[in-house]
Amino acid sequence: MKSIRRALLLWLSAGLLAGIAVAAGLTYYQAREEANELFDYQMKRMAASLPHSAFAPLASLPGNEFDIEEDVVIQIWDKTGIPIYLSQRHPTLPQRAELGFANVTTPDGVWRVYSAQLGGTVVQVAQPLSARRAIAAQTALRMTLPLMALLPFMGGLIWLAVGRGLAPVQRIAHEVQTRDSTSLSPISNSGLPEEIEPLAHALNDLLARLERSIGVQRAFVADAAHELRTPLTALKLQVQLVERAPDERERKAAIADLKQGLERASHLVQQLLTLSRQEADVAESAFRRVDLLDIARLVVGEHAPIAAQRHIDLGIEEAEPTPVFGDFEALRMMLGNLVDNAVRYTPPHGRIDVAVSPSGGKAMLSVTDNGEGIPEEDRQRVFDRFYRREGAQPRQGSGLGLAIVRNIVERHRGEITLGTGPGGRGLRASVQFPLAEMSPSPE
Amino acid sequence: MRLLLVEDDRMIAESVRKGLRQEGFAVDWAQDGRAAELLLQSENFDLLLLDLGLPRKDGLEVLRALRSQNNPLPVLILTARDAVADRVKGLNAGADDYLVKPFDFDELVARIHALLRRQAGRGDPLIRYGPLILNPITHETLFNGAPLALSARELALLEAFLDRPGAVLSIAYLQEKMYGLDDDVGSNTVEVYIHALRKKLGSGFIRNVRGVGYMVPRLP
Repeated sequence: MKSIRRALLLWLSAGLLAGIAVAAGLTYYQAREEANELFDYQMKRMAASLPHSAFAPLASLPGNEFDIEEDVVIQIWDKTGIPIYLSQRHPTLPQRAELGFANVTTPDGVWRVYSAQLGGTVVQVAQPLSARRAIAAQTALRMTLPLMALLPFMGGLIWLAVGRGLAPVQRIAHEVQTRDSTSLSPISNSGLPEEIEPLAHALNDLLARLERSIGVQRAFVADAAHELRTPLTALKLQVQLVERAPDERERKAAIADLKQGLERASHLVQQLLTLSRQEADVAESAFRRVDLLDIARLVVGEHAPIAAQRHIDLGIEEAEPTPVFGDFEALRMMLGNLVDNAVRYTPPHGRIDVAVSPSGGKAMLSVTDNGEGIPEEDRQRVFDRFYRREGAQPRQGSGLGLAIVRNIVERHRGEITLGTGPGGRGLRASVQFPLAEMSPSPE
Repeated sequence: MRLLLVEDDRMIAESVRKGLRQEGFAVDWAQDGRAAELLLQSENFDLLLLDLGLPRKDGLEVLRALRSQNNPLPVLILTARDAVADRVKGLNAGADDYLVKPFDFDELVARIHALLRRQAGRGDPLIRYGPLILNPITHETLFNGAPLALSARELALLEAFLDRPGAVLSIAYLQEKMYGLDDDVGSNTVEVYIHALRKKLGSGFIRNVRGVGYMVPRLP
């Protein structure tokens, strides 16, 4: 796993080491330059201070005046080229050299050689360059060593600082780990460094969304459980009445009641399933081009027998091909629920019109009846799950029909509004969807 | 015994009503809170079966209004609200008992009998009157130690008398105890049942007070 602490430590150490190396290198070069200048000057002075007219053979050299190292070699020749002095023999040094400074390569390394003509003699002072380099290297090393000694200390400091900086992350991890699965309260972001705050913020955002959606689910389950009690109570009583029926005739009647109760309970369960499926199904994978007119014809055909039984005139008023992009089955269920509601709440000899048409770039669908209608103040709340209007015939349906309708409409990015029919009477449910292109579908 | 059932679900109401009638109770049904209040004002009931989530007026409000008039009518709440807080609220509002849906019918009947017994001030579940022992729950009747067969209506009538021995009860009162509002009642039906009871228990058992009604004398 990646560790910020390890990575930081690695990079910072590498950087520090590189810095030390560069500093050491620079120091080395600078020290070498300085050593060169210094020793060149010294060699010059040494040559100049030698006796101007040395007579062979010189017994001793006033070398004590100079604090010269062992490996400085001094040679003196007279004008005929006969060596009159040699501080120590160095077999590989050239016998003669040009005047001034020169670097001479010998099998023992490079030597710095200074030659000067002093009167009738030629003086040559030579020194190996390696001596100068050693001094420069020593200088560089002396400067680098304390820095190297600092390195572990710096590492420890970085380790601590990163640990302290990341402590809030540890705290959050611990806090999240120790909470139980139901606790979705936001994480405290006090004291968080600004680099980590966006993470906590995003996490809190997610938690809030999660809490909302879990809340919706919980409310749904609670509502559903509560609503299931009524048909279950009826069923339980109806079963007990069958058991207690004193004679065959009573038992038959009780069984008929029981069947009705079962039908009602299964209808409610079916509607609940539909609704939960619609709420969960946000994918648009099932969407394709469908014609609302086809759906309207199908749904009106399905409901025609019940409407006829109740002497309600159910028909399609405006019928234009109206393509939309959607889920055929869901749209059919939506219109089915709207027409079913209209049939339920329209008195006998009433009239229900379904209209389908494209208009103003929108697909318009409406179901209009001439029943009692819904008072304006109730028109929003009727979409709530299990909402039943006061004064309406109690418990005719599951209380879920319009909630299902609204879910389907929202899934299709449509809008539904409730208003009144012509002349301010009855109820008109108007749905509009985005219109699909008019080009004929390839099917 | 006459009960008022307040319940907005038609299926539940019909089942409860049918079952309680088989048990010999007269049951009236109100579908919402306001209808219940109207019936409570105009009729006499021995017990109220009250749902809480009612259209037009909530059950708890009906109950509070009833208790604010100092009406001691036994009230049994029948509801889907099962949280402890809801039960406490219901009992504190003046309910005598609380039954959560879905309930068992036998339990409902047992609780109704328990409430009625408490209302009558009896500890004994059996009603005793001289040589007569009546079990209002099983409807078994013993007269001088021998089982006595009584119809549901006869039993309801007998219970009404034994509930208040020594009191003169009018035909209208007795009729109210035996029948719900929707029941078909012939003009002299109560007299027919009184006649039947006298035949089974002896002519002196129920006495006529001319111009007022009938009574079962208080035992010495």
